[in-house]
Formats: sequence, C-alpha cells, structure tokens
Amino acid sequence: MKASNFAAGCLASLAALSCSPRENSREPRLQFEDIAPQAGLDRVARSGSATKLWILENIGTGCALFDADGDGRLDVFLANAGVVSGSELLPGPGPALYLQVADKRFADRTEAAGLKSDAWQTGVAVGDVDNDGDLDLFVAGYRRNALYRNRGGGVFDEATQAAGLQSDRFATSAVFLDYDRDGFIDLYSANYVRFDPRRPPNDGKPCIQSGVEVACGPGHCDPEPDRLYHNERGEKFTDASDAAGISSAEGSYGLGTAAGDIDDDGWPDVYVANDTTANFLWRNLQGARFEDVALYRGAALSDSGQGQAGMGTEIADADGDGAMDIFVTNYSEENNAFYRGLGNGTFEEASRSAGLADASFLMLGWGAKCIDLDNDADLDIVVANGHVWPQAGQVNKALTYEEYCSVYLNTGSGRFVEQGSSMFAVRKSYRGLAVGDVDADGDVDILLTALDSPPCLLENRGVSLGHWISLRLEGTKSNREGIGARVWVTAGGTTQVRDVTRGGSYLSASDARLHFGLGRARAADAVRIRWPSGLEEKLGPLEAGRRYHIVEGMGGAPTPEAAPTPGQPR
Amino acid sequence: MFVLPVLGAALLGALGAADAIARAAQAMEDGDARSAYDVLRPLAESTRFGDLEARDRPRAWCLLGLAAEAVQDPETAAAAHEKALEENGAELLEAQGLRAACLLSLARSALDVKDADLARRTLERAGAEARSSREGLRVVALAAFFAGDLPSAKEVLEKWRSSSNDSEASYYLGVLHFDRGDRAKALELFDEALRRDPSSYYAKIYSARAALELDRAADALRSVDALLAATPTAESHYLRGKCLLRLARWEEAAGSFRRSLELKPRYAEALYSLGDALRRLGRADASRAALMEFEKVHREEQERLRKADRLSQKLLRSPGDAATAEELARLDLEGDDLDGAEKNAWRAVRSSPSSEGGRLLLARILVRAGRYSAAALQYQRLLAAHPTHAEARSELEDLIRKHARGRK
Repeated sequence: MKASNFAAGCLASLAALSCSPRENSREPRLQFEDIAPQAGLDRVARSGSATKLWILENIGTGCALFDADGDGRLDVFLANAGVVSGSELLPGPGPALYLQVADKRFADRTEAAGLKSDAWQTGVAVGDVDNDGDLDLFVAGYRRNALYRNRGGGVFDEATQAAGLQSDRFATSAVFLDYDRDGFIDLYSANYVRFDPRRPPNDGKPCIQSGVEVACGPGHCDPEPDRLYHNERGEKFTDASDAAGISSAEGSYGLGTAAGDIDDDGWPDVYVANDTTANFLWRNLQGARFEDVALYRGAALSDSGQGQAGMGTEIADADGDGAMDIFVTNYSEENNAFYRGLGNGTFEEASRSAGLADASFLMLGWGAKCIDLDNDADLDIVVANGHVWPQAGQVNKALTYEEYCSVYLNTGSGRFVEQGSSMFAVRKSYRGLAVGDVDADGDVDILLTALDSPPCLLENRGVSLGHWISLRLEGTKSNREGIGARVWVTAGGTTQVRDVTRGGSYLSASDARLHFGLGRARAADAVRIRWPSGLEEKLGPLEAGRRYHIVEGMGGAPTPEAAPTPGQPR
Repeated sequence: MFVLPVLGAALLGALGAADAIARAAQAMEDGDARSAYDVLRPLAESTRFGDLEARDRPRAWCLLGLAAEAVQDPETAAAAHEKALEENGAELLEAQGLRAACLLSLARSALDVKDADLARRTLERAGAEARSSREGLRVVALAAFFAGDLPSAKEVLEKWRSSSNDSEASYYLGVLHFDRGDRAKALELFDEALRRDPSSYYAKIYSARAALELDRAADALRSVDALLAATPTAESHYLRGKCLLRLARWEEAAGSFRRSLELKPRYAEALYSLGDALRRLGRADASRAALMEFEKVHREEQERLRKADRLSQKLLRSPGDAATAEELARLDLEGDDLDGAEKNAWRAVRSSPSSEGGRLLLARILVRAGRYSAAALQYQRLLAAHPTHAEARSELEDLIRKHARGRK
C-alpha cells in the first residue's frame, strides 16, 4: 500500500504503530499486515512436544520465498519438523509448497509438486543447481537432507542420493554460492549437534534452570561439523569439506549461514553463526580453499571476546559505507552482534554504537535480513525473535517464550532505531524469516515461521519514503541466477552495494532479486555489476519504479519486466 | 551490636555446662565473642550441651551460633543455629526473646556459606518485623539476589535502598539493572553507591563498565583512572584498555591490556582485546600472536565451562553429592571464578564435613580470595580431623608466614 492509499489502510486491521502519514511526523511510519490467513497460508510448523525438552525441538523450521513455477510470482515453501512421542520422532503435517495462484492468494500444491516428506526438516536453500532456468530446492534436516530438482512448472523430483547430498547429520541452515566461480552453485551446509533421541544428553534428563526443567543447551552434546559440497556441473555434488579446509575447524554448533564477498576480492566468502562458540568467517582463497579468519578479523566473538549463542546471520552493507558488515542474532541476555566492516576485510563489533545492543538484549533472535523497508535508500534490519524454552518466563520473569519481531530503522548515518515492538504481527516463538516483494508493488514483504504455528506473511503497507528499482540477474557464463554478483547502484549521489544471494537469515531462503530503495531519486543514475565470471558491466540510467531483468553479457541493456501474471510461465 | 537477653536461672539444671554457658553469655554481653566461642564450641563438640535441660539447649546452640558468626566461622554458626531451631527450639527461643536474632544470624551465616536457599527458607520463618528491619531487609534482599529470584530481590532492594543509606543496597540494585541491560539506571545506582561509600571497588568497576556501555568512554576512563590509582588490579587495567579502545587510543589501550596481563597472564578478555588493539595499530603479526594465545586460553575455558555446566546439572539433581560439588569447585577455581568455587566448595564441605579434599579446596579458595583468617580456620579444622595431613600443615604454615607476620 502506498501513501495514496493511506485512508483505506487506516480502516484495515493492521498490526501497526500508527496510521499517521509520513508528512505529519519526523518518524517514518511502517505498517505491516499479516495476510497469511486470507492468503491461504495455514500449514502449522510442528516442532516436537509442547514442553520442548530436547534441543532438537526448539531449533524450528525455515521457509523460502521463490518462484517455484516460473510465473514471475513469488511462491512459498515451508519446511516442517514433526512430533515427539516418548523417544520417537514421528512425522507431523509435513512441508508445504504454496503457489501464488492469484494476487496474494496461495494454493497448496505440495503433493502435486512432489514435495511431500516425512523427514524432520529444518532449513531451506533455493538455487538453480543445473542452470536450467528453474529453481531447485535443498531441504536440510535432522539425519536427512533432500535435494529436489525442479522439472519446470513447479514440479520436483527428489534427487538426493543421485546428487550425493544424503546426510545423517543434524543439518540446519544451508546456502548456495559459487565458491570456485565455475558457473555452478555449490552448497555450504551448517550442522549443529550430535543428538540421539534414544540417548539424550544429561543422562536423558532435562536440564534445570532456576528450578525449572528445560531443554539442555548445545554444550551437552558434541558438535557436528559443517559440510561444503561442490557442484559437479549440475550433475551431482561432491563433499569438498576436506579439500577446501572446512573440516579443519574446531567443533562448533552451526546454525545460521550467509554468503557474501566480505573483502571485495571477487570471491564469495561464508559466514556461520555458531551457537555458544566462535563464529566462522570462511575467507575464500580464490576458489581453492577457505580459511577461518573470523577471530583475526574481529568477527568471531562479542566485544569482550566471549562466544555468543549465534543463531541467524546476514552479510550486507548495512551502514552504507561501501564495506560489507555482518549482523548476527544471539541469545536472550546477549545483544545481537553488528560487526561493522572497516573496509579492508576486517571488522569491529559495533552493536552499541550502531544502536543495536540494548534494544535486543532481552530478545532471543533468529532470522534476520537487512532490507530497505521504506525505500529511503538505506538498509533497515528485521529480526525474528522467540525463546527456545516454553518455560522461559518461569526461568526468568523478564523473558517470554513468545516474542515480537524487531525492526530497526536506519537513520542514514549507520545508526539504527528500534521501532515499536508490537509492529510485527503477534507474539510467537518465531524462527525463519525470508523476504521478497510478494505482491510486486515495490516494497519488500516478509515471511516468518514460528514454532507450532502457521506462518506469517507480513505485507508491507508502510508509507514509502522514496522510489525503488528491482533487479533480477541472469548469468550466462556465470551461474544462472548470478548468485554472488556484486551490484552497485548510484542514485541521487549515493551509491549502494548488494550481493546477489538467497541466503542469510536463519534456515530460510529469500528472493534473489535485488531491491534498491532510491529515496527521492527518480532514477538509478548508474548501475555497475561485477558478475561471478569476472565480467563487469555498466548500465543506466534506469527509471525508478520498475523491475529489470539483466542478462550477463548483453552489453548493459536491461529488460523492464511487467508485473507478473500468476500461472503464466515466463 | 545485638544485645543478648540475660541468661538466668533456667540454666542452673546442668551445673558444669550451665556455668560455662553463663560465662560465655557474659562474654557475649561484654562484646567478647571470641571468648564465648572458645568456651562454647568445645562444649558443643564434646556433646556437653546434652547435659542441659532440654528447654535450655536451643538457647545454648543459638548462643554458639551468634558467637561463631561474630568470629567469622559461618559453618559452625549455621550448624549451631540449625540445631537451635530443631523441633520446638524456635518456640523456646521465642519465649526467651532470641528467635529473631537466631534466625537472622542463621540466614546471614547461610549467605556466608553461599547457601542462599537455606537463607531464604530461614527468613520465611522470621517474623514480618524482623524481615522489615534494616538488617532484615538487607538479608532478605541478598538471599533473594543470590538465589536468583530477581523480581523479589528488586522489590526488597528498593525498600532497603530507600530506608537506609547503605551503599550495598544501591550497588546490588545497580547490578540487577545492569544484568537486565538497563545500563543507564545501573550507572545511576552505582554512582549512588559510590556517594554512599566512595571506597567500594566493585561499584567503581561497575560504574565504569556501565558508562562504557552507554558509549560514555571518556567518563568511564575518568572513573577507571581514579580506581587504578587506588586499586591497580588486572580488571581495572583491562577496563582502562577498553575505554581507550573506544576512544581509538590504540597504543595506550594495548599498554593497558599488557599491564592487565602482567597481573593475570591467562586473562582471556585482555588477550582478545590486546589482539584487537594491535590489529588497529596495523601490527598484524603481534595481533595474531596475542589472538593465538587468546584462542588457546579461550578453548580451554570453553571446555571448562562445558564440563562445569554438565556437573552443575548433575548437582541440581543430587544436591548432596559432595564429590560432584568438589569437582565443580575445582573447575571454578581453574577458571578464576572464586565466587562459584567457594559456593561449591562450601556445598562439598557441608554435605560431607569430614571430606579432606573439599575442605582443603575451600581453604585454598579462601586463600586465593585473600580471606586469610577464614582460610586458616579451614586448615585448622582439617588438621584437627587429620593431624598428619601434610599439605594442609604446610599450606597453613606458609599462610601464617606470609600473612600473619608480626602477630602472636
């Protein structure tokens, strides 16, 4: 909804702070409405028992916003875990693929799409693994990963074994990246703990906190090492963890992953948010190997050198200084971490000076994305919150199991201001978070998952503070979606930089389109793209308010895209 | 100082013990708790309280508890008061006007042996009047604070703070706000604590930390400099380094971290921050060396914490498991967590008073904490039970040589 629709918006039942127009206030007015119920998104994400006394039960499940059937509209995939009975893990309602069949109307096509599963799923990664122009799906899980190849039109074939991606580990977040820039996207899969329901930790007993029985934390289990899979030209994946140096890492409890070029050397790096232990920053050594430089570059720990309970993560130039920053969500009574990029591939923990510390202190954060919610030409931050213990309030009266999500608006100077906490729907124990312009109206919407709850689809109905453009890249020599391409957009004298990725956040995959708020500028004066192949192209000016499709090597001639029509393949 | 009600004719039924107790009571009245303790403790150990009339025994135990508390033997004090309050002891003490004093003393002694739950249970038996006195509020607040019942602690700390000028009340309330992430309120309270007692080391440290976290590095630096002049500890040097880091004074920051590490070589936070400062100075190799050292210490620390967490859970399931408590205390001590170590060592000792290992460990922890008299008492107690214990003897002699010079 735009400013012109303001009056009508006030009549709607909005989970919003205010209906005052921007013009009457110094503060931007964000408004979101959870349209999941009327959109038909009703699958409950089951995650074990009500008491959640096993660590497996409080990890949650992720989601994806992607165009499964190639009609130009964003569809929704929701992973699902299961239920617990004694020491048995039993299937729950299963995952769901919802195709957007009409404007903001979704239909459950899970079975027809071939995505029914009884696995205990966790994270979702989306990418075109074989460069055939449609998007494939990797679903991580407890002792069972799955790769679903898209046949086209949103019909999938499970190809896990043939692709070599089977696993008996406890996998969490995963991200596709083309680490060796060979034109095919590879896969980094974070793993969490070794957990056996027949032999749970702490001699099978729950842990006790302040006299209350709760699930034991990861320290009671052995860590499960992460894996890196190399894509063999779209045919299959091989485990490259040893060869690439990933296996050399000390045992850690991996939860969130993000890929991005942190040192601007053209090679995509990987960041992993680890629970209670130092986070990883895998610096890509020109596609051959990775080395963990997080500690030596100031992005591993808290300001005082403590390991925090890293959950989700995001790589983005959040402060707009041209260097990539890293945002990590952490446990309650720890603030979220903001590692400000210093421009030479090193970081400083700047959560306090960025205004992100105290506001997050009591919350337990998971999914997070840096997006320009109000199109004012800077990146804001959204965070999905929710405690791991249903008993959190009994353990500490300052905590709650169900929490609001958080939104931090960028003041434009590298500082963030938390907005009203009740802005985001209702309190739930949120986990996954993915973003994309679901209704193609020029602002970014948010998909959230929550434990034992249907998802929330938060339609952005705020007052847009500016213009925007949206860019969809298509690689020809590079991988098909241009994953890993770096794009600089200059408008109104300001340059913004983004990397093309579907990863980041927690257990979730977002739309790969790059959405740039332009503020008052009516056009992007210049667009520069550095493709994974190494090709650099310059485009522009590009008129604001449009979605562009840019094909690698076409000499800088983007194609404006019409608003998508549901059900019509491009 | 408390006033002990006069012990009178009720004790005459058991002449020997009664006489001794009368003398002890007089000593207490005269403010000579040491003499009272020296009379009563052997009498209690030789079961001579059994010679007393049943109705007089609670008073005798209570008297011993009060004397023991006064001479800083909280273990004896707690045990004596628990005996005093057994069966109908509380009623008898009430009639003798001793109940509230005995309960408060037991609660304080329980806090001294780091048993906040016992303190809380005890205070529940004290009357509203005792609980709402200044001393009552102090003990109730601290018991709730250390038991982790922070909402109750906050409520009582606020009452205590507003009804007294006690620095401790402001300090603990400040810590509570600090731990909840409200640094601004915490800073206000630490500053109030310092106005009430300018010598409070921990209030100074916390005040500087809160100012630093409020992005008031220059203010924090001024506080730390004042602190350093009086108390140059590893922590205060470290904190100075953090202030200087925030002020982008990298070279001076590195110097402060180095001084901190001279005093405490395995100070992980200081090693990490030294690496950070050196990185900002562009000294990549030196930074890497500091961080590699940090990594080693940090890894060991993580492993220690994991083990400690597992043992804590075991202890929560079996609170009387002295061996686990002792193991946990040992791990805490390794990690320089003296509070945790003392708490768990007391637990081991109280669960198994004859345990050699637990008591020796407690003595060593008290030495590390600089509480030499309390440590000496533990060594003496161990030697009384095991006269040939060579380590205890040698360590006690060493303690006397180093810290009791010039005394008789």
